[in-house]
Amino acid sequence: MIEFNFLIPIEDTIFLFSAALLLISAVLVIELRSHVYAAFFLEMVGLANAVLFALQGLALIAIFQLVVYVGATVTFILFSVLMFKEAKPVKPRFKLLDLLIGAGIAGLLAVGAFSIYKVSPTAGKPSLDVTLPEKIVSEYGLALFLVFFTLLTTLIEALVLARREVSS
Amino acid sequence: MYDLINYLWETGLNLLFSPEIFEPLVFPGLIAAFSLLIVVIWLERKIAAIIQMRYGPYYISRHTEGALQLVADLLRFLFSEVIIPKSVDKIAYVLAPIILFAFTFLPIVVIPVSKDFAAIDHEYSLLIALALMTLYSSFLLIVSWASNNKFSFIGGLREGFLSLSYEIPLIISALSAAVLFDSFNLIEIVEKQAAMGWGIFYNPLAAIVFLVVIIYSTSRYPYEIAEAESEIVIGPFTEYTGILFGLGMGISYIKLYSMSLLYAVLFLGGWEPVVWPLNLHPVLPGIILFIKAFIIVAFSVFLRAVYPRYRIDQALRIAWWKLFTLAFLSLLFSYGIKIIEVMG
Repeated sequence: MIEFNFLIPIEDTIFLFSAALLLISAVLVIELRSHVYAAFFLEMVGLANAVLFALQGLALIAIFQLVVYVGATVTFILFSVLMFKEAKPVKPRFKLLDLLIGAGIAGLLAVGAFSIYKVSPTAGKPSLDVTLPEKIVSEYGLALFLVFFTLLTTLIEALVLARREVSS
Repeated sequence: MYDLINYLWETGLNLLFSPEIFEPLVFPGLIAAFSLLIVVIWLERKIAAIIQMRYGPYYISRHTEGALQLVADLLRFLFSEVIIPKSVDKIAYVLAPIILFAFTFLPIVVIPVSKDFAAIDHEYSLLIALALMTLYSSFLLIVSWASNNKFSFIGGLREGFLSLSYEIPLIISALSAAVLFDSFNLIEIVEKQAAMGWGIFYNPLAAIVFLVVIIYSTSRYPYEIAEAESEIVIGPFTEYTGILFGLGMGISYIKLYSMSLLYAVLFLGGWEPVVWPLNLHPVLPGIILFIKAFIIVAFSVFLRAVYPRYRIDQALRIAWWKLFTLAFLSLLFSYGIKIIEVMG
């Protein structure tokens, strides 16, 4: 296998690209009026998130991010949007209140980020135990499958109930 | 100057033949996939013609039974005008099929061609391939929405219904193989098959479910429901012309190819047996894998000539009641084999 020598490490380039895609897509999900475009950019958010998880060495979380959020959730959203007429976007009434709430959340996040940066010398590294997902899959594979199976049957039940409600 | 040219030549060759470049671009990637596409579509038309007592492709290159018909079709798609109707959403209409094609192609990158030649050799390569395969339906829904046409729209909705029903049996039957061989790594799965025997003999139930899901998810007969020509023209791609239509036409075949490669790795022993001269270079065992995948692709397209089409409610009932139950049983079967192994 040959070694590639890049001016900027390839991981950094992928990280920057994914981070930019994540931020831009996240803003577009909220700002776009078309629900289908919003769903598309939500898919991009999921993809970029999966790449960021993969870069941190959390391959299993990246895979679940792809399967659950991108493969399943966005498909469900798109499916629902196509099945029903697009609702008209609601104009926000309390702009000042929104601004205050937004500023409050941003302030809390900033305080949190700075406190982590000051206290922890390993800031920027994943605080989650990297071996945990691997351990769950390797040691509790059957239990994990049963949990999935239970969730799936719940999902099917919900779909059946929803259909009954529509038909009645 | 000579040294510089020599250095550039050697670096270029090394780069081209590195698994990271060679696999996605040449084999089993883009070039191999396009070559297979041309042969398979011709084969599909020829087999159907023979069974229905017609000539099939004939006028282009008569001496080779019309084998160059698809090359001519491809050239026509390349040079014909791409018409964008006024009523469509222009950005989504143009970009969605291209993105869909790219994401359909992506799982091939994870599939190794031999134990020493893989673009991405990861301990969860099977899960990565499955995760990438689940992205297909959401982009197809966008394609169908962008056209603003009732046939495209119905085709997209049909694909949405079908994808919800086939993805779970697909994942469970693939996990049955993973449980059987105690690994999510595709190279390890093939290595274990070389020692133990093919997966299809150990868990035929999982192999059958996976094969039916391949046919089901790639719009092959009798599950050609999302693109049903006699009902909804060609489903999501009804409004497309030129090269965009060509891409749309090829997408389901590329998906069929990538899923067949995965099937060959999981249940047909992958690139094994590696005999001379296939052991001369790490990429050569891939020929065996390609042949196995080609047989599955050819079998899937052969079904067109012998089966009628199911209605969508019939297909959904088959997927939720039969495929799902059989997939679940195949997983229990794999666990049973593992328990017997441990106790024995």
